[in-house]
Amino acid sequence: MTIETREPPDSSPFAMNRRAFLGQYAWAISSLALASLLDQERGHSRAGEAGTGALQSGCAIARPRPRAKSVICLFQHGGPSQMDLFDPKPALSKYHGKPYPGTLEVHFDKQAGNVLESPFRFRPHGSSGTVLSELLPHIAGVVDELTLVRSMSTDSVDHETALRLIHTGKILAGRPTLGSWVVYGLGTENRNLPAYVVLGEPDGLPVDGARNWSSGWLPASCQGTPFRSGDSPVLHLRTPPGVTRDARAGQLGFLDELNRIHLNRHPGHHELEARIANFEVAAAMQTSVPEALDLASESETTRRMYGLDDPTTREYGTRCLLARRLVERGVRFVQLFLSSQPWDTHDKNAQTLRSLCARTDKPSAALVRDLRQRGLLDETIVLWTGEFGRLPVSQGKDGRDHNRHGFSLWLAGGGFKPGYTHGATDEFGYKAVEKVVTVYDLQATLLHALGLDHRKLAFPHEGRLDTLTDAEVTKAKLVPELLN
Amino acid sequence: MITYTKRVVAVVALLLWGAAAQGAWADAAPSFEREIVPILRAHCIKCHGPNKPKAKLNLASPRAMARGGESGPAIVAGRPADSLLWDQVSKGDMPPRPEEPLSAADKESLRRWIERGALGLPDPAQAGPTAATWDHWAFAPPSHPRPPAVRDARNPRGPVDAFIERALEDRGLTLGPAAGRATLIRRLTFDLTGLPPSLAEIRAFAGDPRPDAYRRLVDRLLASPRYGERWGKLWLDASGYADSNGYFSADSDRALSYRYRDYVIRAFNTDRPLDQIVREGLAGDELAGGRRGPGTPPEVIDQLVATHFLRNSQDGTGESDGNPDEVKADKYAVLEGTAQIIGTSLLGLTIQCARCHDHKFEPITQEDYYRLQAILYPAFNIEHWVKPDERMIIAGPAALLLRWEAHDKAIDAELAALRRSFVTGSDAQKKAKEEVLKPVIEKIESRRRPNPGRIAGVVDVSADPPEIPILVRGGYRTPGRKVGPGVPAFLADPDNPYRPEPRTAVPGSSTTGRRAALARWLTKPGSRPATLLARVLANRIWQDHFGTGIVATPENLGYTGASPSHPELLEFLAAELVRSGWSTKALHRMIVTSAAYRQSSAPRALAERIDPDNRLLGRYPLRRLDAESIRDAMLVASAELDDRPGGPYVPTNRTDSGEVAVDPSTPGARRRSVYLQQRRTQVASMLEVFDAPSIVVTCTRRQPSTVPLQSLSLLNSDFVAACAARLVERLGPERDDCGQDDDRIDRAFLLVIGRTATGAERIAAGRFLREQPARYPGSARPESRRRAFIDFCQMLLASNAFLYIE
Repeated sequence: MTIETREPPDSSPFAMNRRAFLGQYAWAISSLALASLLDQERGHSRAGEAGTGALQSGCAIARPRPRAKSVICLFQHGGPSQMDLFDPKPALSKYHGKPYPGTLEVHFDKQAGNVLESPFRFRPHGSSGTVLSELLPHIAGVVDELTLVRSMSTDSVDHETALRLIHTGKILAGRPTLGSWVVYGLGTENRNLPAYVVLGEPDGLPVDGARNWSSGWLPASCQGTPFRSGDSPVLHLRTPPGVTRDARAGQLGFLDELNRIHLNRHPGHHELEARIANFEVAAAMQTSVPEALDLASESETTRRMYGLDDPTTREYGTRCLLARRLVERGVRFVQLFLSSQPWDTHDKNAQTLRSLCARTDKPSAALVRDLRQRGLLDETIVLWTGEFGRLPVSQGKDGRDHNRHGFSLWLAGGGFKPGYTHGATDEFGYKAVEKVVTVYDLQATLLHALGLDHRKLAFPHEGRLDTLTDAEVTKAKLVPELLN
Repeated sequence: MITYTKRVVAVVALLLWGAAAQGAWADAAPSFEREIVPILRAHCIKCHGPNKPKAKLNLASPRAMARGGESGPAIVAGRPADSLLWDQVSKGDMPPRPEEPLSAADKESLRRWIERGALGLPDPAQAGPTAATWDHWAFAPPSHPRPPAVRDARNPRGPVDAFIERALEDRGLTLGPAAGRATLIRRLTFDLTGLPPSLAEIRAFAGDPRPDAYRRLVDRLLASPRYGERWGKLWLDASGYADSNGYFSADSDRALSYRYRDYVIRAFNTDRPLDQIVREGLAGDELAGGRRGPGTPPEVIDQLVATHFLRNSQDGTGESDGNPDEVKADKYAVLEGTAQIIGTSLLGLTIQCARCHDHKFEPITQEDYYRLQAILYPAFNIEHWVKPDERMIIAGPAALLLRWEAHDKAIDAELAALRRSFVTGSDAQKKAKEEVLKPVIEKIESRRRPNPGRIAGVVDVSADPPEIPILVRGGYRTPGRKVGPGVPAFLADPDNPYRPEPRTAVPGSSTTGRRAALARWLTKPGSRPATLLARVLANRIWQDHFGTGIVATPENLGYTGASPSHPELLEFLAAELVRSGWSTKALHRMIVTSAAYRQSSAPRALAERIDPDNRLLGRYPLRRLDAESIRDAMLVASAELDDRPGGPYVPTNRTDSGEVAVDPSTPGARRRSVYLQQRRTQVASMLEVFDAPSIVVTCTRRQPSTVPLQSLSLLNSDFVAACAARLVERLGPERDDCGQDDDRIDRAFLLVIGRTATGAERIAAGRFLREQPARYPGSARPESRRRAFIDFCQMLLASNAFLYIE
C-alpha cells in the first residue's frame, strides 16, 4: 500500500481529513501514517541493486536501506562547554587572562571577562586519534564508535528559545519536537509501550518542561510520555490496591460488553472501535511497562558497566540502561533529560563540569558499548547534545557565558560514521568555521538516517504543509559526510 | 487484539483505496477542489498568489483565475490550445524553476480539466475586474443568500435545514429521523451547558406534552448560568486565556486574570452582543473614555477588565534577563502573540506569517502586519515597557476602594507611629531596635490587603512614537522603513476608513485612540471586516455544536483554509448573527432547533457510503464529551459538583507521582473545570489527557484523541474511583443480595447516561454484579457486593455510552 505523504492541505471539505483520522487513534496506528517515505525508499532500494539504488525520496545522496530504527537522545540542558570537553583550543592558554582579540556576542554583557583557558588536559584516543578532554575517560574508550561534530551552530542564545530550535526547528513554543516527528513518520513497533518515552531526572523537570517533548500540532499520540521513577512510571499505570487480578479482568470484560452493545448502534465507527481496543492496550501496558523498567534480569557485569554500583553514576546509569531496554522492546524514541539546566556554567565552570562528567560519562559510554555488544547499535542512533555552547572568555570569575556560534555534539550508531570528527571552530572555539552544521542540518540528517525526508515529512498546519526543518526558510540540508 | 488491529488497518486501507479510486473515476473531469487546486498551490501561487501576483495573474481564487491577468484570460474553458495557462505549462515555461517541475500526470490533469470545461470556475463575465480585493469568498461583502428550495416539501423546516437538506438532496441523501427525547435532552444539555441533565429534568422533558416542549428546553438551558461557563470557556480558549505568563519555564502566575474569565462568562450569560465583546476586548479602556478610580460604574469596570484580551499573549518580560537585545526580543514576543491572537480568533487569518515577509499565500503584506503592530504599540511600547505585574488599572465602587484606602493608610500611620516612638538614638541603637521591631512590623504589614480595585487591563502608555519600524526579516536588530497604524489594505474600503481619534480629555489618561479605531473598523455594520468577523464567529459556533466547522479550519478562513462544506449556509448564519444584533443565543437557538441538529446519530447505509465523513450531516455526528464535561459530569453523577461561580482559580498542584490534580481538601476542589487553575505548563492531568489545551497562543478547535493513557485514567485514577464510590451511595438501599438489582442498575444508568439500561445492558450488568463479588475472595459478602457495585459504576463512567453524546 502506498500513501502519499505530501498531500495538499484539506482543500476539499469532503476529502478525508488525515489529521482527524490519524489524530484519533493509538500510537500503533499512527505508524501507518506516514511511513510512505519509508515504504517507498525501502521498496525502491529493495527493488534496485542492493545498496546502490538511487532513492525516490529526492534525497541528495543515495544510501542503502536505512539502518536506524530508533533514537536515544541524551539531552544535556544548559549548553555544555565545548572547549572543556570536545574541542581543544591551545590558543586559549596562550591568551589566557588577556582580552579577547575580536568581538564576541555575549549574553550577560556586563560580566564578560578575558580569555579563559580550559583547566583540563586533552589527548588523542582510539585508533581514530580523536582528542578529548580528561573529563571524558569513558567516552574516550568508545570514541571509535562516535561521530563527533565540532562545528555546530544555532540561532539563539536564550535557553528556552534555543531548546525549541534544536527540538522543534523554531524559537516559538507549541511546535512538534523531533521525537514527535519521528514517531509520526515511523510509528512504533510495540503498541504496548509508548512510542516516545521521556526519562527525566527524578529531581524535577528540565528547563522548558514538557515543551521539550510536546507533539505540538501533530496528533496527540505522537507526544513523549514521561516515565517517572518509582512504582507508577506512567500516570495511573497501577491497578488501585485492593482490586484483584480477577476483579480487574471482570471489570474489563464487563466494560467491553457494554462498549460492544454501544458499538452495535454505531457499527464501524472507528473511534469507538479504537477506544475499545485501547482498554486492552492499557491493560497490556500495565504489564509491559513495569517489565521494561525492571532491571532484575540485568547481569552484574551490565550493572557495573553502567555504574549502578556507584552512587555517583547510579541514577544516570539506571536511566541509560532503561533506554537500552526500551529500544530493545521497540520504543522508537527515548530521550533523557537532566533537571533544570546543569550545564549552564555561568560560574564555577570547571567544578560543575567535573561533577557532571563524573555522573554522566561512564553511563553514556556504557550505553554505546552495550548497544554495540547486543547488536543494537547499527539500528539505534545515540545523540548527545545540548542546546548551544559556551564562550572562550570568562563570565565573572570562573564561568562561561552562552554561545550560539559554536558547540560540539556526538552521535553514535544508526548509520553515522564511526571514529569521525566533523568540522571545526575558530582558534578560540568561539565560532564554527569549517563545515558548519546548523541545528536544522542536524535534524535533516537525523531524519534521513531514519529513512525520512525532512522536506516530505509534513503535516497540514495553518494552511500549509509544515515540516520540522522548514527548509525553505532555514536552508536545512543533509550532511552526508556524517553518514556511512 | 491482533485481529482487531488487522481490521483497523484493513479499514484504513479500504478508505484510502476508496479515495484513490474516486480519483480514477474522475477520469472524465478532474475535480477542481481535489486535484487542480493542490497542483496550483504547490507549483504556481508562490508567484501567482493573492499578494502582488506576477503578471497580475492570481491563481489562488476561482474568481481571479476566471478573470485572468494582464495578458488576458488564462483559461478558456474547453479549449486548452487557446488557454495561456496551458500554453505556458505545456511549453515548460511555467513553472520557471527547474527544481520543482510539474509532473507529466499533473500537466495532464490540468489539460483535461480545461478541456472538460474548467469546472469550478465562475463565468468570466461575472468575475469582474473591480472586485480584486475580495476574490476570496471570506473577504467579500455580505451576500444575504436566501434559503434554497428543497424537493422534499413534506416537512417544512427552518432556513438552516433548507441549506443542509439541499446539499444532501444533491447527493441523493436526506436528513435522518429525529432523535428520541432522552437522547435529545442529553445532547442539548451537554452542548449548551457542558453538564448532564438531572433526573428531574429528563423526566419533565420526557413527559412534557406541549408541542413546544423542545423550544422551552432550549430557552431554559440558554438561560442557565451554566451556559456561560461552557461557551465562555470556548471563547477564552480562542482568546488565548491562561492563568500564567508562559514563555519562560517559570510560567509565572497571573493572579488577576480570573476577572477577565468571569467577565467573559458573564458576557455570554447575559448575551452581550459579540461585536461589543470584541470592541471591549480591543479597546475597552478607550471606549470608557479614560474613566477609572473610585466610583467607576460597573459597566465601565467591565470595559476595563475586558482589555485583558490583549494581555492573553505569553509575556516573559517579568522574568527576562540577559542582554538588551534579548530583553527586547521578549517584549516583541508579547506584541507578536497579541497580533496572532487577534488574527486567529477574530479575523480567521494567519497574519503572523507576515511578520518576516509578505504573506506567501494570503493578501497580507509585511507592511499590513506592522501597521497592526503600530495600533498595539502605544499600549505595549518597547521603549517604555511595563512588566505584566505592574500593568494595572485601579477602578471600582467608591465605597470599596475608599474603605481599602483607609485601611491601608491606617497601617501606614500605625507603622509611622511605631517608628517615631522607638527608633531614636545613635545609628547602632537604631539598628538594634529595628531588629527587635522587625517581627512587629511584619505582623502589622501582614494585615495589608491587595487593592480590590486592581484590574489587569491595558491602557496606552505613550503616544510616541507615531510610527514604528518594519522589522526586516522580522529581526529586532534590523529596523527598516517606518509605518503608522492601519488596517490590512485588502480589507480597506473608502466607506470604512481607519481613523484614530486621540483623546486627552481626562488628565493622566491620554490615549491614541488607535485601538478604538480598530474596534470600530472591525465591527462597522455591513463592512467587509465585520462580515469576515461574523463568518469567523458563526463558523466557530457551528463547529462547537457539530464538532466540525462549516470551514473545518476555524483559525484560517483565508485562501489556504479549508473550503466551506456549505458556503451559503455560512453566509446565511453570518448575516443572521449580524441581523440579530450579534446575539450568540439567537444563533444557538436557530441552530439547535433545526432538524439537522435534532436528528438521530444512527448511521444509515447510503449516507455512510456516499458521505463517510458526514460532512453533509445526514446524521448527527457522534461526539466525545470534551475534557471539562467529562470531569464535571463525573462530579454531577456523584452528586458532588460545587457550582459556585467566579472568583480566583482553584489551585492545582503536581503530586509526587507527577499527576497534576486538585487536592481534594482544597476549598472548591469540586468546582467546575473552568474554574481550575489554567496554568500553561500545569494543566490538570485528568483534563489534559482528554485534550484540554495547554494554551500556547490560542486554541480555536480541539482535536479529540483516543490514546491508552485515557483508558488508564478511567480505570486507575483516584478521582474516577472516588466518583464511582459516591455514586453507589446514590443508588438507594439494596433490597437483598440475591441479584434483584434491576432498580439500582437502572438508576445508575439514569444518573450516568441519562437513560435506563437496555435489555442487553441490564443482562450484562446483572451477570457482572452476580459474578464480580466472588473476584474479591478476601472480602466478606456485603463488602464484596459493595465493591462490585463500585466497579459497576466506574465501568459505566468509563464506557463509551457515557463518554459520547449520541
